[in-house]
Amino acid sequence: MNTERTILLVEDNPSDVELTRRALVRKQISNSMVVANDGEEALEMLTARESHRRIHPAVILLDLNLPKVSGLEVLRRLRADAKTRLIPVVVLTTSNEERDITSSYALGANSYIRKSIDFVAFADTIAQLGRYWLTINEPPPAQAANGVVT
Amino acid sequence: MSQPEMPFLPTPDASASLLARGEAAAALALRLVGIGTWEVLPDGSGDIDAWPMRWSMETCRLLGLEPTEEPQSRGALRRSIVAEDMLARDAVADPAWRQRRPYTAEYRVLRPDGALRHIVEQAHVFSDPADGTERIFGILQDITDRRQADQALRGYNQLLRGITRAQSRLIAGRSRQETFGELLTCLLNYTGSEFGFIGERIGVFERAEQLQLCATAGTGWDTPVRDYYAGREQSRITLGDWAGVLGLKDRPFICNTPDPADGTSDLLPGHPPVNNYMLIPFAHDYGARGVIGLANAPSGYSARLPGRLDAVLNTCASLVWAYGANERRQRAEAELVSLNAELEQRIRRRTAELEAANAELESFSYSVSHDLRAPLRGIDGWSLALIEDYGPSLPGQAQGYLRQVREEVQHMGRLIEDLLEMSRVARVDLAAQPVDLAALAGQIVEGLCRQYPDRDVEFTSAADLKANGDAGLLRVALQNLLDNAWKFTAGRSPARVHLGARATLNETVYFVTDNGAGFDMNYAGKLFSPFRRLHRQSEFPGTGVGLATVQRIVRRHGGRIWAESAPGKGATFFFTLASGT
Repeated sequence: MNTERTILLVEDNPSDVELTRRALVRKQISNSMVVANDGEEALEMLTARESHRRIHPAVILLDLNLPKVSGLEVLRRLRADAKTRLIPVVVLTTSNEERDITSSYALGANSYIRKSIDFVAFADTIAQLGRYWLTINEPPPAQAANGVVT
Repeated sequence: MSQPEMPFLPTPDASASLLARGEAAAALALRLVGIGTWEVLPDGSGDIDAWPMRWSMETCRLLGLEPTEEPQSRGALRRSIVAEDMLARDAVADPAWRQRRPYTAEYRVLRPDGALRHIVEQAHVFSDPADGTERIFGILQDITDRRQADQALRGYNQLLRGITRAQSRLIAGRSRQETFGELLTCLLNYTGSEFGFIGERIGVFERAEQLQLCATAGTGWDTPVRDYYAGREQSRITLGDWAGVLGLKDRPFICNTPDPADGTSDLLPGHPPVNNYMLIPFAHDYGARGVIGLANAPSGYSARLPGRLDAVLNTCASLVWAYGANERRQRAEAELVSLNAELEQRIRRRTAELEAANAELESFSYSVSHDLRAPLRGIDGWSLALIEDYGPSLPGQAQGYLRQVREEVQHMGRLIEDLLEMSRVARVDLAAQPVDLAALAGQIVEGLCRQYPDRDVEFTSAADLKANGDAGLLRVALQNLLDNAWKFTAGRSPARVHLGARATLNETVYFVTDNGAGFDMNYAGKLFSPFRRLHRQSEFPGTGVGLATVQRIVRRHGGRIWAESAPGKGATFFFTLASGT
């Protein structure tokens, strides 16, 4: 079980990954960002059978437009799985389509953030997100999140 | 002056001849009206054949016998009567004779020359005033002509009833064969014909008249012949096919003694022999419509017959026309139905195409939203990274270039945003409801004032601007129009922007007017096309998509949009909403 609070970024665009990491580092929020490059990989990391291979992030930053398994499908499976159903998920995407926003909340997203094209604004958003979910927000108890209590 | 042969009045001085003259006048009168008389003197014996009987000359003539003064008898009278009528007559007359009662009897007599006449016999009993003896006095009257007239009238009535029945069948929507069959049956009965046909004239083909048979009828035909005609009821025949006769003529054609050389020898095998025939064309407005053919009347066809068939001929012509009209209407209806079906199919196809195109557009805008924006953020982010990480070592010009790159990125980002909004306007479902445009504009203007706190803009609007439309879309439209007004009045102080409406005869025209830079009306046609801009970017920044979006919104409401302006004189944008008034 991780003691240090981590962020899981599910993002397939390497440039976005690097820019996000850069924003977090420059704002001195966190060094512990784990990256899943597509939906399938994210699900493996979060729901692996062997608990030592499983991560338990403080928040998941989830892109919607992902190869293999789409972001919304990842969200649906996370919420259907007792091990992951309580992990906060922030949808972080370029889309502002109404149906994406509606679907995300319907599937149990905790927040929906639209990525700005303006990188200054984007970096600010990421910094606020990190600060909020890693330091301000009280996460669900790990045992409950792990499905020990049912 | 000679004595008149048949004086009508007796001379007063010759009383002796008075009686004789009276008798002569009576006899003459009876002769003139064709009435024969007879007298029987019952002799008391039971043998009525032995009773002496006297006939007048006229009685002899009625029976077709030589006039004679010889005494006659009951038996002589009975010999003239047609055998099958005789018993009925005896049953009436004999008891009356014996019981001295009056009676009336009707029967036919067969004259020696073979003529058949209808006779009515009436008898009366009286006593001779001189000696008191009883006598039976009878008259015979020839009613053949009256009988024939009655029969002709009955026949004609039947014909008229047949016409009525045929017309009813037309009205009831029965088939052409059934309707004309009814008429043909009546014609056969009326003329005593053995068989016949009614045919509609199609036209001349290969110099022969073409007929479509409406009905054929006849009794005693062989099966092959019936089949021959039945097979042609729906098809065309040349008139020559029918009994090998002549072409259709304008006037009735009667042949009571067919010459084998004229074509009747071409009869089909199995066709009944044609002893006589009649062809009568019938016409309607513009010439011959068809022909009726009848054959094998027992005593041939009289030249006066076609004249008596006028009503039938007119009916045939009308029926042919009516069935033609019906069929034309049904054809037109069928064409209409198939046209409609085709149209519906085309609509379905188009709808499917449109739906496919819409779905494609939707997925396109979705990828535009995602895939075009992500690299922009990268360009911006890495440009910024360059400035942040290597700024101090970069020449000032290089830093300026990088800032320029970031500005272009933001412009590109706005373009994408505006395009997306325009496509969303086209895709979103329209939910019409009452909207107060003035209130909507007030909210938008509040936002604009916050966004441009330094601007000095006097905004006014009509108090109560009711419209019916989609609130979300109308907000987007007003936002774009007011944004524009704000933008293009940038140089004015105070800038004036007004939202108003004026009612015309059948619609409300809304308008947004400003005292800004305006534009050249020569380019007004390009105003509403996406990416068309009438001002330099350096003067008034923008993507050129806003008015295109407004136009789409207005059109989706079934309205129109247009503008009036002159450079430097401000601009006014008018729009209507069809569902709004």
